[in-house]
Amino acid sequence: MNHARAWMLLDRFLDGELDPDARWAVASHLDDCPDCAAELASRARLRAALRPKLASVTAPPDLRRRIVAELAITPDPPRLVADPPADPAPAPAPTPLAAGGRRPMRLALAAALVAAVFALAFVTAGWFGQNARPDPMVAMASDLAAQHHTFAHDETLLDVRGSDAQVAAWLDKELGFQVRTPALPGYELAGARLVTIGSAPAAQIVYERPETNGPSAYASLVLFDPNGNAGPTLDTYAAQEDGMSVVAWQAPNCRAALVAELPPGETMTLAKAVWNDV
Amino acid sequence: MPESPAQDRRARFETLALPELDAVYRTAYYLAGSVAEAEDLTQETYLRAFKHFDSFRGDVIRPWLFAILRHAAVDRYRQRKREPLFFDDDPDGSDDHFGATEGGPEDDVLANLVDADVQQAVLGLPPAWRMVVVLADVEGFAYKEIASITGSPIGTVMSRLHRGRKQLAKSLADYARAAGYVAEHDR
Ligand SMILES: [Zn+2]
Repeated sequence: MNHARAWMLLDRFLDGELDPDARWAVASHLDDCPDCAAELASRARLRAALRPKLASVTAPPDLRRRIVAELAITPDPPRLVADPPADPAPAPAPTPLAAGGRRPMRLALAAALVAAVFALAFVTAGWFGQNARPDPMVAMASDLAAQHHTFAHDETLLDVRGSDAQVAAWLDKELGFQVRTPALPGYELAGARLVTIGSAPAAQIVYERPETNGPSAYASLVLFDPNGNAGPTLDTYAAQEDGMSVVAWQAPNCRAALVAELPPGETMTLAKAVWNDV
Repeated sequence: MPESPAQDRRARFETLALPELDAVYRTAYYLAGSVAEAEDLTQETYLRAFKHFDSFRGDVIRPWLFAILRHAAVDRYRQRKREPLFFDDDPDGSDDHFGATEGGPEDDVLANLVDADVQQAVLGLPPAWRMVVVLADVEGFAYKEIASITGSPIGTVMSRLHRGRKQLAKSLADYARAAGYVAEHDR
């Protein structure tokens, strides 16, 4: 595993959320890479130090008493009749994957979440240190890099896999605007998922470049904003973070951004191959 | 003396749910930002959970209880019609710094930060990030559990967690610097 990939997986390694192969690959990289090992140790120390400071908040002593008293006078509700368990539908082509956002939820939880809506108002406490708004393109590129960082490396997180045509058909249906899935030189199409950019749906098309020795490299082509009116005016833009670089541009039918685990110049070359093709 | 079904139900609920009181209250506090709000929210969560207890299946009550907490929080603030701040929205202006390390302040700096400093730093995170950071790093939920609790795809959970932790580390480093815990030349 190369440094950039290992670095990206450090949090998931620390959280115990990697599959055994990836876990082993990160662990053996850590043996050889003092930078990754030091970063991992630093994050682990930070988390270990924060947890007790945050967990020192405890319920006021009489809250328990009040709750118990209120439960005592709450009448037993009428028995609920549970719906039959949701049938995890057999896979049509293209295959919606069971993992990730579309997996079936446990029945009890589904019942509890039945009133859920996605845009939910919430009032925050006073913002601590209002941040100076960074350049919106920096923020967007960072957002795209984060999307790639979290989505691209684990194919169970994809919403759809299959041939180009299957992926394109699925995106057409889910997205509400037409996209193509252009060939990315040196990469194979891995699949796609729906993401959100500026609270509008966007397509993240994930490509995989198998490596002869070691895990694959990935790239994400993100297509969004078909009307060109959400977010900052888009000039070609490149940025680098955590071993990834991002190139964003205005394509003929929508905005596009390519995130790859490459230096900016190479990502730019790759982007130019699909420049007008999306 | 045999208990009635109602007493039995209540006793079973209390046995399962009351041990989570501190955790529920704590998360409510980090969602709401004040003691009074956190108390109301916790009480509302327990009453709702009790009312819907028949829909709970299984023996691990924590994710279910926390999902109810989240819904109680959402409903509560929606009713107030305060300035909407979207609980599920990821801020588009993020604090990410390209190429920055994410480890945050040094150990001796961290040791100097009192609990209240760290808690304030968490309350300063955007709500959507704050929720996943608290669920993961304080309450120890797995990504999948957090996805169930927040009703988000697991990828969204991971993205928010990554960004929330990063911003938290930066806030703490900034805070320590402002408080003089770290000398300028150490930066
Ligand atoms: Zn490394």
